[in-house]
Amino acid sequence: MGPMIRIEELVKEFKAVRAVDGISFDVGEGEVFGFLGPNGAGKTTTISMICTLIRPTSGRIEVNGVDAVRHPGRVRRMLGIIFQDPSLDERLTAAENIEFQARLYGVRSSEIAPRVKELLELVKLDDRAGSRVKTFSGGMRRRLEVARGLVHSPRVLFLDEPTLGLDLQTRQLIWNHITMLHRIKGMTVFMTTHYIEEAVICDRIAIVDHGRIIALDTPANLIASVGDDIITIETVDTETFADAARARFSVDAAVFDGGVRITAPGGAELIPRLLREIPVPITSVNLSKPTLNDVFIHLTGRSVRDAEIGASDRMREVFRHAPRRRR
Amino acid sequence: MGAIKVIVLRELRIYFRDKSYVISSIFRPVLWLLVIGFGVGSAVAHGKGPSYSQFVLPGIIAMALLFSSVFFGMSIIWDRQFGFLKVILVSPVPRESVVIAKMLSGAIISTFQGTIVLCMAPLMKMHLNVFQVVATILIMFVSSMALTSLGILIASRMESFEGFNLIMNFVIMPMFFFSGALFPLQNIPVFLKWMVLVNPVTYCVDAMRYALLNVHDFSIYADCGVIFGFMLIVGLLASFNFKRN
Repeated sequence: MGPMIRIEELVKEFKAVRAVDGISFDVGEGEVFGFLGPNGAGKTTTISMICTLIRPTSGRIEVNGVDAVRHPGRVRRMLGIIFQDPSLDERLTAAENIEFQARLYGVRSSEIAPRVKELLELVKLDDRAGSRVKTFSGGMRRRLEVARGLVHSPRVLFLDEPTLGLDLQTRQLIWNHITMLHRIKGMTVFMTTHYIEEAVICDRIAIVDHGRIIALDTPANLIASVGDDIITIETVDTETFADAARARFSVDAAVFDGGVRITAPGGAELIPRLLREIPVPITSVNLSKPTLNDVFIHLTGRSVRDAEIGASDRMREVFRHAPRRRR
Repeated sequence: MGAIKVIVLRELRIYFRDKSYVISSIFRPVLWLLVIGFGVGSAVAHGKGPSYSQFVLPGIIAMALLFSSVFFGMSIIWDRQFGFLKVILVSPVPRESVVIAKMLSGAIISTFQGTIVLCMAPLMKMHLNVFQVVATILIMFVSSMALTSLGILIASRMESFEGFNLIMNFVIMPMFFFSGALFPLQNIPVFLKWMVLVNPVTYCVDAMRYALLNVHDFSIYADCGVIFGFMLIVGLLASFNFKRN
């Protein structure tokens, strides 16, 4: 069986700007796949092309073996989408919003009520089923959108910056819901985010910058590609400890900020050995891993936040050249 | 077909749920009917034939249809702004169903408003038979479909509701005033006559006047031809524009 999504040499040009510049990748069935990159990197444009909202300039998109450019109707049926901008009907109730979506996708009438009920329970909004959406908070709306995106049992669920503009606690809650729903429903999930810490829930991550994929791997491998763990140890005698670590384990150890900072692969395994074999009493140990942000820095020489400042200039460029936004 | 029904039901649910909106949308034409029909009517001499208040009733119905339909068609801008249109556009529903559903919903809502105004007929001492009422409702419905598509067509050219006043002043108001809704067409000056003749609302008013009062300036075939032709042309343009965007 082929992949759920297959993208080949996808390009989208907006007049003068190449928003998506020849990207290729596959997403396997049931996989949680992430697009990570700064705003303006081409994430939303790519999603819009897969969802058949805009036509690619060139390249191929297949969803479950169906060509998205030639058979948009068949592809749409297989997709559930949670847009970056809110898209609920505020004048309808929570249940009505989901029900409307179910009917648009031709879910059988007899199945609609139980599904609406089940989904509202899953996102913990069942007690507000009959309330109009205009009374909902940002987090509740997001949860409702997630529930709505699933009502027609899509093969692939797209999440475009699902936690943008939400507070930390709500973001955590949304991700809990998404991972739980993925566990229950087993659909393929394709998400974009520029919150680095949220990308770690993905099975694989594509890091995009300037419309290109600059790295694609599991979060662990991406982080491993940056290199070693960072162990910070505070002891009564930092110099002796550092010398001993260098001599016995041939690791990079430096006295740093009143402690010893050791950079080495497999930090978790190294710590017990350090403690066992170096007879210097210690007061605290801290192991830190490189983060995905370090990966981005490693690959591009700048952090995602820094990249965003440049990207907003780039987006202005796009809109200057394409004054009428196409749907 | 199913998708059209789903969208129509959503529109009707939204409209009829908001009681204050329903009441205010009916209030305006009723107010006009009372003020213009009886107020102005008392100053207008009339010989044989219908009184001024009777004469102006089809005009006020047309006004209700015009305002409500064009505004409803333009409400697609809101659907676009609040992202709701995008939800429909990524669904398997064909693009043209969206336009057809909007036209039908606009027609149902406007015809509802027009029918409420029609219910004022007994106040004007008009005694209508079933056939007259049914014919008038049919004319209202088709006219509203045409006017709703005009609203959708305008909306497809607009990014936001900011230009609404412009449309109000330069499209909706002239279409109302230059329609024979408020005055008979026999003795009007030539420049006005031309404005009236090219205005499709004129023919809606004329057709309803024929159905309700048995007076008319054009043949009923001409009226129906213009209304249907206008609906087809604007409806096709609207769905073409909608699909292209």
